[in-house]
Amino acid sequence: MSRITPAIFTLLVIALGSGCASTKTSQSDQAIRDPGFYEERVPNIDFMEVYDPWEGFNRRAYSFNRQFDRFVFLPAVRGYRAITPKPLRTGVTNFWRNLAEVETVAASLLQFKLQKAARGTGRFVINSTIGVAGVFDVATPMGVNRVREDFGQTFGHWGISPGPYLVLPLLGPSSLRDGVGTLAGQATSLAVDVGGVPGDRREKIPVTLFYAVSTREAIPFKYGQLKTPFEYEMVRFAITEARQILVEE
Amino acid sequence: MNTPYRLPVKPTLSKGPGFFLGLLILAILPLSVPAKDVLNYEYPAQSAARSTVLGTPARLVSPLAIPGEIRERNYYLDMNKPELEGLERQRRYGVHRLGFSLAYQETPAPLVVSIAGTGGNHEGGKAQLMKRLLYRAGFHVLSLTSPTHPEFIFAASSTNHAGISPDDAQDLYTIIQRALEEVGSTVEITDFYLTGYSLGGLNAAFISQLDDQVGAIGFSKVLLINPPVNLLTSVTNLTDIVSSDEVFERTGSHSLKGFFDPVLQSLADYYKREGQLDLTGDAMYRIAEGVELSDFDLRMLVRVSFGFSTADMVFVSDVLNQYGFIVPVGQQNTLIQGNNNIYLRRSASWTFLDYFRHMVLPYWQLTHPQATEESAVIAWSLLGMQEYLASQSKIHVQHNIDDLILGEGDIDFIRSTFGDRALIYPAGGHCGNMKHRRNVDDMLAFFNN
Repeated sequence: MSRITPAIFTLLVIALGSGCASTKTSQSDQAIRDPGFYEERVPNIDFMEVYDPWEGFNRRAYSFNRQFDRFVFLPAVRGYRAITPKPLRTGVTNFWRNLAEVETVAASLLQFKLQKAARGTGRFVINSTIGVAGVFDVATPMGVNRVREDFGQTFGHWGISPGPYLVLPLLGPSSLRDGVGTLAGQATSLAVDVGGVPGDRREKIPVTLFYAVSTREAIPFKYGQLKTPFEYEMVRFAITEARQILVEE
Repeated sequence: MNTPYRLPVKPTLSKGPGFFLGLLILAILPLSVPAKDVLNYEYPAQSAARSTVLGTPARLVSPLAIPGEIRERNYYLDMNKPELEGLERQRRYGVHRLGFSLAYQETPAPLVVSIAGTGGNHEGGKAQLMKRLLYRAGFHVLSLTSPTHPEFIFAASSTNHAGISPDDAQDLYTIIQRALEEVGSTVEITDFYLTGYSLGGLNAAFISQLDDQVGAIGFSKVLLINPPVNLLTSVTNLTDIVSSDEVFERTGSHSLKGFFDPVLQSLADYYKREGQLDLTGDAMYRIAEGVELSDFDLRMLVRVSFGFSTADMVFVSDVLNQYGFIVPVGQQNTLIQGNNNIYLRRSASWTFLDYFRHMVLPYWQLTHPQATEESAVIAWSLLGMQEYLASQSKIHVQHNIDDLILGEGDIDFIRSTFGDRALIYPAGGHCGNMKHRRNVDDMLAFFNN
């Protein structure tokens, strides 16, 4: 999950021009031809329904993300790959992941998942020191495997429902609950000072851009990869279900 | 549902010149030569559905099939379809161009054109497998998306429908020529071969026939892997692999949710482990490998996967032809807006047979007013081209005796039509043994000799 600072996020929402107002869609479904079986057929995909009252906005944001990915992110990723060797990119990814341990620890503590909190703390301490500010993941070979907890899960753990499905500009598919969690998580990793880089300096735009590109580089998903006209529905369903299962355990 | 096919033509024997002609035909026609049944074939004794979904066990997989880097390049063709210009927002779907890929040798070599199966794209699992196998055996490989794939229908189908084999072959033939132009001097080609699995095998047979008439390429070897014999039988078998009564009996509801649960659990396991979702095209099948699935689950997987492929075709054909079954006529440009799943729900309620009856056949009848359901099925299947297939020594076939898409008598059709050019395996379901050592060796032996 990529993250970005709230300031830039707000800018983008404004740039999108649609704000958060829900877009009413006209449904003149009277015009539909019935092939003769719409009434009798058992609807078998009801389980794919997701609460999505802001669908108009979400689809715009999804479409914006797709275009942004194609014209900005992916070219930037290609450039980044061209000028950096793989081990360096792995180091960069490790660095960001190490910062995210802070969120894992905080989120675990808030759910009284003490084992996970201990594991996250151990990893953060080991990797921030022996692992040179998190660039090397030395904890994993030592048997302290990576675990992940976030604030969205924490909210879910305490009974907060995901709320409406929400496609965040640049950040991708989420829900109202998990979107708020994402911003909170971002704030926690900015609160720590690792490798002589204070959190507030990481809020600077060049660092954020670097963060965004290097994070995008590590995500295998490509828009259009599912090669179905129902990609929006498929992604919405998969993300919602996967989050639900994570919260339930 | 089984359409009877014509029995192989037996030459009439009479004294005189006809007698000798008869003898001669008897000697030339391969009809009298029995198909080769593959003996001593090692494969787990399991249901065809299990073979189809889970494929070949690791210990029997050809070393050439193991994933790894190959030298390849992706291309995109813009066929400039006029229908798409009216579709203002088509670019949002990213499907106005047709992708294909080329795996290439640095030395001169024969080029194999490989066509994906139903709903498959040139980057899908089995298409990649074919590319890898043939590339590692020293061929250039041109990998093409199936004409049933939504991207193909959108970007390249001249009919805006999928499944009309003669028209699909015409489109593919045009695309192959365009692709070869595009590829240009990247490769030095010494000969042209053609292959396809599943529906791609049927496409390959039609392309071969067209190529013999037109002569623009000159394919000298053609291999059909698990092709359908009767299109209608194939789609009916895949649709009826589970009945809605059985779903209700097993899960207590008509929802497919019960089936999805184990799959979603493993999806979530992956998400937990990697911190991100993997939603690649073959995810459903690959995810299934990590879960204990009952035979019922496996059949559901086949059904659901085929169902979504069908929904894609129905939706795209509806939009391009403005049928108004799914999307109201005139609202094609508002697709980007919310619709609360309604288009998906409508599309998913269609079976392939519905698609055939309500969209494809009526379209075909505009130019073939005499056509009936039966005559169309035969004209679009291997059944209708038996004489051609029987006479072409360059065309070989690999098939499985327990293939899900075959009906009664279909394997006999293969045997009698292809004779010793048919290799019949005793197991493997539908395409479940494509990476089996034996199958790979047989395929490469055909292309190498």
